[in-house]
Amino acid sequence: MTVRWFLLVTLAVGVLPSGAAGQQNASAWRAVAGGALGAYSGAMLGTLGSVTPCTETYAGPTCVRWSAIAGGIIGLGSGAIIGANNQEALEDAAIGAGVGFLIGAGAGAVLKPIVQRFSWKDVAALGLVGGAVGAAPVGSAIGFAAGGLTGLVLWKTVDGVEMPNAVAMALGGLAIGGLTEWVIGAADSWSTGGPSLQLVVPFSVSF
Amino acid sequence: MRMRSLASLSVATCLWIACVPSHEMADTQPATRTCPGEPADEGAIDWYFPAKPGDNEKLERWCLTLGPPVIDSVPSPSFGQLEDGDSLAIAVFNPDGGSGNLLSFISDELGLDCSGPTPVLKPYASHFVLLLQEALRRSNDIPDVPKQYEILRAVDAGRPDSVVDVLEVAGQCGLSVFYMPAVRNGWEARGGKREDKGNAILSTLPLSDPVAIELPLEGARRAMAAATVHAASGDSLRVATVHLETTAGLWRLIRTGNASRLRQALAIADVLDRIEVERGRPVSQSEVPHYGISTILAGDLNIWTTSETSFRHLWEYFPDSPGPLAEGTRGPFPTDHILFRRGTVFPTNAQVIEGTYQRIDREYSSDHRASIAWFRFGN
Repeated sequence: MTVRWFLLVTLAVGVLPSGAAGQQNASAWRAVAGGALGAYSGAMLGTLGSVTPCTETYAGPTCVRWSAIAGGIIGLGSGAIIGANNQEALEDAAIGAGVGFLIGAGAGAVLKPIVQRFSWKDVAALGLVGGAVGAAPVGSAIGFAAGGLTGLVLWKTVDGVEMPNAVAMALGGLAIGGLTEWVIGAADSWSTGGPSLQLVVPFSVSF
Repeated sequence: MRMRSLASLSVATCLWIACVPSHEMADTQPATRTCPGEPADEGAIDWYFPAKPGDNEKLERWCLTLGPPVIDSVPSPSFGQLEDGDSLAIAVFNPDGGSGNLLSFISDELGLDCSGPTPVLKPYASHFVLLLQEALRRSNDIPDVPKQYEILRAVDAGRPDSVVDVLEVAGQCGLSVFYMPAVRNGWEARGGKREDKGNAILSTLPLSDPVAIELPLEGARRAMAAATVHAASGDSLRVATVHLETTAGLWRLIRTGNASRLRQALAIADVLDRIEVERGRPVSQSEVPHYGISTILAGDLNIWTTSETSFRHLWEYFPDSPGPLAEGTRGPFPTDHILFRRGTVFPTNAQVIEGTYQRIDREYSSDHRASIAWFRFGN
């Protein structure tokens, strides 16, 4: 319960406009939105990509948590830069996340009556996964395909590589691809951002 | 300020992910639980529960659907005692509810012919302990509860044997038995009887000190059974059968960082320590603490590989285990294992007989293959 309350308070602090924040321009708000979207997508991608390989280590969930944090930080930075500099890219990512959420949650709703013990929370989780992937769809798809294909070939041809390793490669590819899309998007936005680029710099100073 | 807000969002997102709930166990029934009933209802069974209240709230709803545990601690006297020089077979098998061909397994792999009026242990056969998971019980002692309770769908595979109830098998074979139901096997009665399934210990030796352990809830209810067998020399060996969570839901997987089986494995280590400490057994202070009597843990761990986190922790806790079998016991997955740690309470020489730990290739109509190892103890 403590964690839940901490989560809610933290989200509130992060999202609700303060008096000072209300006076910032639209670009700054886009940076906040982009950072939030990137943090969510990156953390979820970090989790998806790490869960299978981390489960093969002694550290297990601790390894997953750090991967989520690393993904979240990458997404946060990238999303903030994209938001501050490229409104169109941010809108695309947000729409992609929305569509991904609907597809994921829709798939979950279909699975619910079929799969035993598949709860509404699981439907929501599938939606959240869909949203995270949908925010960076191209990189995720390329990564998933590349990782999955590599894993499949290795599984069928190399002794000692098992099906779980192939699954790990597919999910790892998805995560790396998705995070790479965020980073490339940030680099593109940074290089083409023009005047709005300057809005990012004061944040760093104030921090 | 703005960066701090962004950072807080990121941190909050990450805190929501991969948080592992406590695995701590307790030796008293929580006040909120009505099930299982008073200890007197179930004889001398010693119960352990998860300490976390949230687990107990949900476990109560699973528990209410089940019949009581059963202990029949005395086997047929014809089996005799475990004497000096005797070996003890330990077998682990998940018969998938009533699908597995238990009577054939006992006859062909353990050498006990149960077909006649008196069970006969073949001359080459040793005493054995058979540790079962998903063993089926058919009984109208299982309560008639509303369908909305926590009830799993029935295993719907074929039933090649005419005798599928583990208690009937034990009775027909003259074996001692401790059956600990974990979940219902469907809501509707089948052939006029309701069904539940769980872990069971069957043996040619008497069983003492039965312990029932509800593991932390990760998906479906999991309940371990443990008991102690003795050699004529007085040495004791605790045997425990376990079935870890198969797959938690996606929500749980993300929230805990796929820690479902790890949490249950850590709970097992915690509860085994508690059992020995509460029985006043001496504790050694080695790097990996060994408590009390020698212990075998065997079961369906539902792991994908032997490098999985939960197995690594169990392996550390059972340092005297035979090397894990590389072959799959459920399709390609090495799910079923026998683990062992030598105790300190007696001057024991309990050990696995080298080279005897093996997978049994025949499936006996189950979706799992069994494993077997021979041990020496008490001599």
